[in-house]
Amino acid sequence: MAVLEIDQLTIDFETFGARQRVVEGLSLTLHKGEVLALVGESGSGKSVSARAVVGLLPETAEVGGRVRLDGTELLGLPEDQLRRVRGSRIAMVFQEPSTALNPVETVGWQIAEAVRAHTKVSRAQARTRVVELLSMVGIPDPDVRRRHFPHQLSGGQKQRVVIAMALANDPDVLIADEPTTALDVTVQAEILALLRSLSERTGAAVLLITHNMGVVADLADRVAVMRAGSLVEQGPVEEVFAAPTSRYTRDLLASVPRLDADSRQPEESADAGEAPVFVTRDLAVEYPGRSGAAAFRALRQVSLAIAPGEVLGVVGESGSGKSTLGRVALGLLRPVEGSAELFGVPLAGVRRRELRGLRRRVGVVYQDPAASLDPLRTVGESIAEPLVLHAGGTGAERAAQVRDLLDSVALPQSFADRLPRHLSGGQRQRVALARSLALHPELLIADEPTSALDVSVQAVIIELLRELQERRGFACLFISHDLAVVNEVADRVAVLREGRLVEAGPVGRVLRTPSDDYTRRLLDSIPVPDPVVQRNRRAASIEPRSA
Amino acid sequence: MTRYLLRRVPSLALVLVAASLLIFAVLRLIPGDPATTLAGPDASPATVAAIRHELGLDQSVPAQYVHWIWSVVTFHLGHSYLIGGSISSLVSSGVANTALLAATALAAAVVIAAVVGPLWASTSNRWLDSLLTGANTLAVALPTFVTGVLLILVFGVLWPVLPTGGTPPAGLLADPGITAQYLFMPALCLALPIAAVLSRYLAESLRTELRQPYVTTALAAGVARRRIVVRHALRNALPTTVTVLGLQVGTLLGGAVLVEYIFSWPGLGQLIQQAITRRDYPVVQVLLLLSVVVFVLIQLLTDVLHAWLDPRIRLEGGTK
Amino acid sequence: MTDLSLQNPELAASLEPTVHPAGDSPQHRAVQARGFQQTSRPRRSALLRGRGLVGLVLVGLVVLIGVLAPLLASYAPQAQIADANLLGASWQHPFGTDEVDRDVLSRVVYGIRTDALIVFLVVPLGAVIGGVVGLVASQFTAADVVAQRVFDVLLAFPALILAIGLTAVTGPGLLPIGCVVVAVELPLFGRLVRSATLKARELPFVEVSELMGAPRWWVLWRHILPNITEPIVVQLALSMSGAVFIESAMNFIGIGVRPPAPSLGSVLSGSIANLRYNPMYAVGPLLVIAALVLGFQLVAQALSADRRG
Repeated sequence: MAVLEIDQLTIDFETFGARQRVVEGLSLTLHKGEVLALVGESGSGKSVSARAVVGLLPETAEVGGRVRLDGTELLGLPEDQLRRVRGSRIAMVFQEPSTALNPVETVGWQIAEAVRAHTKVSRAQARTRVVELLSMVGIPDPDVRRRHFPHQLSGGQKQRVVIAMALANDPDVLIADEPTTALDVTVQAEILALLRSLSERTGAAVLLITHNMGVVADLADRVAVMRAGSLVEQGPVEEVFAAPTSRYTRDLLASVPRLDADSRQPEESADAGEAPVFVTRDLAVEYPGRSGAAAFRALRQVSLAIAPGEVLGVVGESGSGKSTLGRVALGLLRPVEGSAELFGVPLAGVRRRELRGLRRRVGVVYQDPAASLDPLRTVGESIAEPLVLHAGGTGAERAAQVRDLLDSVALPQSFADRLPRHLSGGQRQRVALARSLALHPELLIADEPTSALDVSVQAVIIELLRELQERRGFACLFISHDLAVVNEVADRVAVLREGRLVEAGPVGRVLRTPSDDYTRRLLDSIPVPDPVVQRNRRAASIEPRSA
Repeated sequence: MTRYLLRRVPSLALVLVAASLLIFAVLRLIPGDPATTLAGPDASPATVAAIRHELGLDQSVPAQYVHWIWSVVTFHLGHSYLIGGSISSLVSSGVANTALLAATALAAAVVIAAVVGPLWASTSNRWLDSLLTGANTLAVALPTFVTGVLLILVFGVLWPVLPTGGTPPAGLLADPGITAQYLFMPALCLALPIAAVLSRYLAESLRTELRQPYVTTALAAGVARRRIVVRHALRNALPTTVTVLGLQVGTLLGGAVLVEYIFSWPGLGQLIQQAITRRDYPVVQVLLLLSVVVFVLIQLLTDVLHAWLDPRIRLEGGTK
Repeated sequence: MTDLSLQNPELAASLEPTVHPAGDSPQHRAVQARGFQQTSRPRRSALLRGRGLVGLVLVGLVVLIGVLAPLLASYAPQAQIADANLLGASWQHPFGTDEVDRDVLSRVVYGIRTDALIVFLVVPLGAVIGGVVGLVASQFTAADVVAQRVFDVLLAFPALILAIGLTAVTGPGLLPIGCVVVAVELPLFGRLVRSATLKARELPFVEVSELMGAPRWWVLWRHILPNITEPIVVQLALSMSGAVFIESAMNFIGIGVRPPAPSLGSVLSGSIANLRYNPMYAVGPLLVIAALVLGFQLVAQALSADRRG
């Protein structure tokens, strides 16, 4: 039975007097008790469509078509009646739990607020309901926790609170907009499990909006794929994954990095025994505490090495210290215990001048493509900057080098005159890559270089990075939260957890036959983008976990 | 919260000490002997010596500073030779009048901002928005003395309905109605720029808050838009607004100088203006210090309020 | 929170939470830092339309009147005219005459010149001094500690109180006005430049430049300064508006230029007691001061609106 019917939905945005159509003729039907995943990359219109359903778009948006909830038309409903639908019939869960909650009110107050928005309840009734909801979403000590402020909870707990708010009035439809994107994989697995059990228990239909194919495979019954505002394909999840009818869906699925894909064969190191480019021994690093607070130890007893020409993937969840390791290699943080050596030079007491010389041999690529290029400098100027600083030469020589570098990252030479804002995220990341390679570094430090990109773009950038690495033979410290990406890029992998090195070794061994419990848990938490495999994995893991 | 405040107190104390030293030092730089200036051209050497002794000018410079600070702390400020009367009583009557004026202005400003801010932030009516923007720009831009003279021109000369200056002849406490008439123009004058800055800031931060994801969460939960503005967003905008209000209050004494001058309101502003034109330096010195003390105290107060209003600061180190 | 992947909190706090037209990917939106990317339209256009244009015209008009003062004023600003005590408005004296028989219009027109001097010479001077102090403070910890305390102390005095304290020593005059304006602008620009520089230093492209071995001056000159000019220009317009206020206020309470030199503030202050006899007395300075402060405010608003895109 259809709960929510979206029929020929169109959405236009008006910006600077110009109209832009962002959703074109979207038709979807959500049935009772099912989980329908709406997937697509950024700009596909999946989130705006979901918000249009409950009238949460800004006033510059114009919505056309029909949206019916149990046969009642929602579009064009006066705000007051729409308000009574929101939260009581259709509830929402959002991406970023750390901002989705009001920072100055207790979580109990916020859940009670959701209850009070639709039913008149006494203070005591509200409190009882809050405690009930909190325990329903698996928060321990609900009577204590309800008095906590959001900043006192972890990310996963905050997302549970947001879910509790959404469930406050037993909605018929739950719209979950990238509910696990901002979470670590282990937390993501817990939240997915919670969403699944809640939808089974309450019978609410779930509209799941996500870009993550693993999440789709894990949770969805049916899937609808959007691209640039239009529906490309929809159908039962097994069918779409097994035999996608549209080319776009096929490409999208092919772009998803997979853990079960063949990992790189570590090159038979002919030059084994050559001195590592970067090596740490029992490394410990601290961030000084602010205003008398104790220093925070971000890394402890970490021993690892990167051989010349080797790609070392460093993986871990937030707070694991993986980025800190990159900062140590750059000489931005000094060891407090143990040692770190870059090109054989101990970094503990290195002098500024010497460090400058070392850094010249290192390239850096950061996560954020928008912020890693100076917005006021052209692409050519950005790429030429290291050349101006170190290589000397005439302007014409540098221009030629810039053209070569643009070629090597597969960008047209004409891009040299463009400003970063005229480039897409993936193009900016290519420029950043070109700049980092300008001085022919022996070591490239790539800190989440693809995390802000769409999967299809990510796939291309990863391919490019691999190709460049093979051609130029630099060593690479590849930092990522995504084990599947590391699987495709790295020769060896190091797993960090809360500042400690858990396990390290060849990618194939660590990711197939992990020896550490944490690595195993990490791997188990990652939903495989294949509904059948994922269901089997879940069935296998539910038994021991619930016991 | 305690830790947060412990961090603020020393820097504020430092400001106080540095400012007092600065005031003390600067007034020592005045060419000529202050005692001779104060005593007037016809005074006998004995009178000059007596004044010199009373001001502590016959002591060493550090002793003079201590002497001065002590006289301020104990509120034994000595005699004003040029304005006349004891400085302490001049200051205390000035404080009372200025406090009444400032408190009225402040209350008015807060009320105006509390109404205008949320209205401005949540209106989708272009006309109302333009009207508020225009009025606000005028109120922010026009200096106190411009509005003051304008008010006198309108309500005192062209349409004479309000007294153009001074205080009620029977005293401030005699008839509240009369006092209100006398208070109206100066208080409005003083309140307008504060109200304008405060409403603009409040509207701006409410708009920022209304774009935050937690507002979408509340909307999606079915909370009414109106309640989201006046309860959720306002509560979040409050801590920083209080800080902005504090900074505005800190500049009140500067505004009071002008307003009291225009409307002949016998407060501290007028006193300091008189003192400066008559070169009565002991009075200037005390009032400058008073201004800084008020500023520092208000800073401290707003810091406490800010910390208390924001649970992220309140609970930091405190209960954990 | 040791992972850079989580973004630094400074940056996260300054995010622009607007809905992107094709706003589908919140993680995309979340990486655009405010103020460091919106430089698309050339700045000139903001001043050549709407509020900015009105402001520019207002300021330009007043300045023009000041420059053309000898042509516009029929009398010398100090000239006392026989039998012209507190005359009302007339063709000969559009704003009437004052209590010592001078033509109010002439005094207003010449009074603009002092304002223009302070606004266009002293404010930029204060901005440069403050900016340099802020820049130095952002680079050296020791300088920072000192500069911060100096800013704190200067900010503890309201502008007019500072003016009173200073003129207590120097006596009235143009120089003290200049000093007060500089003393007021110093902490404003100092703090602004300092915090903007520190914030810009955390941006990945600045860090990358430093990592590539760029010397400090290079990073400042090539990456940081160009990226922080916009808030500074906005503050400059605001400060100009503020300087008109300070200059007029000091003249208003009699601690500005020495009489009988003309100034807007002293004309206004002289008018209060005589409004009953010559209501037009106040109109000239009111109009000019209002036009100036409002003009600069509008320019500042237009620039900052443009900056936020």
